[in-house]
Amino acid sequence: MTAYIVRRLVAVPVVLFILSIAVFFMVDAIPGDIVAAKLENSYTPARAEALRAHLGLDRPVIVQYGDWLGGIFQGDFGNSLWNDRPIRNELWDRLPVTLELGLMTLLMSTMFGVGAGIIAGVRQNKIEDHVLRFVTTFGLAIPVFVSATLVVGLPPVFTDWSVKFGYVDFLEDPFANLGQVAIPAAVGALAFSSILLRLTRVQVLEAMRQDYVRTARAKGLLGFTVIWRHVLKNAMIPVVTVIGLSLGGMISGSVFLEQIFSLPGLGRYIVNSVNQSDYPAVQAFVLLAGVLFTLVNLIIDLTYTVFDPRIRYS
Amino acid sequence: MTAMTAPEPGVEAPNVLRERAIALLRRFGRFVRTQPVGALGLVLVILILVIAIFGEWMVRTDPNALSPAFQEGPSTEHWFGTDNNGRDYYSRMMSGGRPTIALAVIGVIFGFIGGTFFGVVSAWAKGWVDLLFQRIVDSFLALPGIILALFLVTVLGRDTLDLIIVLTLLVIPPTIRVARSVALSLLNEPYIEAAYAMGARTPRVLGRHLLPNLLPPVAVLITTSIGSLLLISAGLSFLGLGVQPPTPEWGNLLNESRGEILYAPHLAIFPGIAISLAVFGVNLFGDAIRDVWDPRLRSL
Repeated sequence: MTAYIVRRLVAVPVVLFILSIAVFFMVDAIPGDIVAAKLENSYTPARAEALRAHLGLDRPVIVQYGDWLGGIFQGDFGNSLWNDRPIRNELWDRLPVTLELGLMTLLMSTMFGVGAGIIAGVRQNKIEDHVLRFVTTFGLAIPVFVSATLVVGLPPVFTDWSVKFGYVDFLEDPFANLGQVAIPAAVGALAFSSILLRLTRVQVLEAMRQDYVRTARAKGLLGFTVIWRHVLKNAMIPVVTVIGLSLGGMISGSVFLEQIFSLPGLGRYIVNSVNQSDYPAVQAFVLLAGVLFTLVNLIIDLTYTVFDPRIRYS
Repeated sequence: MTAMTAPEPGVEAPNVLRERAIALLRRFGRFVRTQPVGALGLVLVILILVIAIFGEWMVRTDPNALSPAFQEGPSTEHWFGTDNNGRDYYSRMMSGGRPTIALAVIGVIFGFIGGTFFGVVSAWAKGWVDLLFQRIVDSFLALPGIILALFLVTVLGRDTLDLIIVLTLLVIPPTIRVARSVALSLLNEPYIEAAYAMGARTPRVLGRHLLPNLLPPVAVLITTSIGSLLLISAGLSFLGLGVQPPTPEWGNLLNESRGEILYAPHLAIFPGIAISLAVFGVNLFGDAIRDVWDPRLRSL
């Protein structure tokens, strides 16, 4: 088991190093001259030379890579090609919105998905089970950008209610802010809670068939106690893992949800940066997403070995 | 056939063929009975494929033809209504399926071929080559699919060929991983050793002995990824980074409808339903195939 942990710990920096090489050199290989694009009409060879020196583009590419990577370790992601602002500030300003959306999505989908999944499992093949599973079919079938578009678009056609655009900062008006983020979070939760519900249901069903559950019942424990102490404790391990692994889904979801609900978060920023060919911004975002995703996966894998002593990795 | 001679091999063929056809039908019948949900998925997949292949000829007018009919609702003349340029929405929907579906299918096929090749090479080479390959795969898999797609679109561009490469590159890493793990276990089989012992060279062993046993499980697993590829290809167009208007495509039709949805909700509903049904059908069918093939793979 120690060998496994060491192997995982060694692999992470290697993977991130390869990712950083790919992110830097693939962008470097894009045809076209940034300097020419920036100068546009005021292009003269002398000015181009000066700007190239200013941006450090006249040095060997390997030196540029080292400089870029070194900067990132110091929290410097370079400046946006679009508005020359430091990318760190741009990302930092938008992080809270995405974080809020992601956490709220996670909270909602966990509450509904796990809660309803337990009900569906305990009441297997009863009416609750059928209704809940039917609902999850829609949650799994409808892509988040479709459901979000319809949630924004359809209510005003039939009712007086509509989604409010124009982002309100949390510090300005906490309730307005939470209410605003809650709707995209619910849309995101529809999809993710369906996955959680199905998984929880299957886990509960499996745990209920175990001998120790029958023993607990035979001892005369209350139904609730059996479910709470004996079934759930064992059913929840994979569910916790999947909740942890959902980070990737949260990032992907934020790309569409922030676009459709006009929230000024990271997801919208990356789409805009791609649209404007703002290469340094895209590089920084992709690398950070990779770092975050890899570290979370590592943490989950390691805690998994702690949670479930039966697992012995070779 | 002149005289009664001994039955030639060719005479028996129809019987064998008929038996095979019957056996195939039986298997199909069993699939429908044991996997009714998968059968529903199959119906949807066929429907979607029909639209993708024949949609161009199922149109009622030129999908880009303008008319004075502004944002009309569905009627007998315009089955799915018209959009804000008076274009017949039914025709746009029918020809809008092909780009999404073709991209996803082509991406899966190329990714399958490339991923299997590199996966087998990685498993066969062992040592540092294998290690390097796996770390590269890991670094690709370190990004959520849509983020990797956004990055590749930035680097490569938005033309059809670029999008095909983007989707192919999305399929290759997970395919390498699956193909490698299957190949690793197959390389230990006695028949591989036997083939080497009989003097076969590596390309022949890998191509004639390993590959036929490797392809089915890998193919089954990759089938389940077509759904997410459809999502990414429609999603990119929805974000304005995939198939560009005025070429109709379900993702960009849905995106274009957003500004008009208050006055013409049908413009959002039809592409929304189409994308959902396509993804849903492919997922149901893929899961059913996987369950029939090997229920143990369900956890993968």
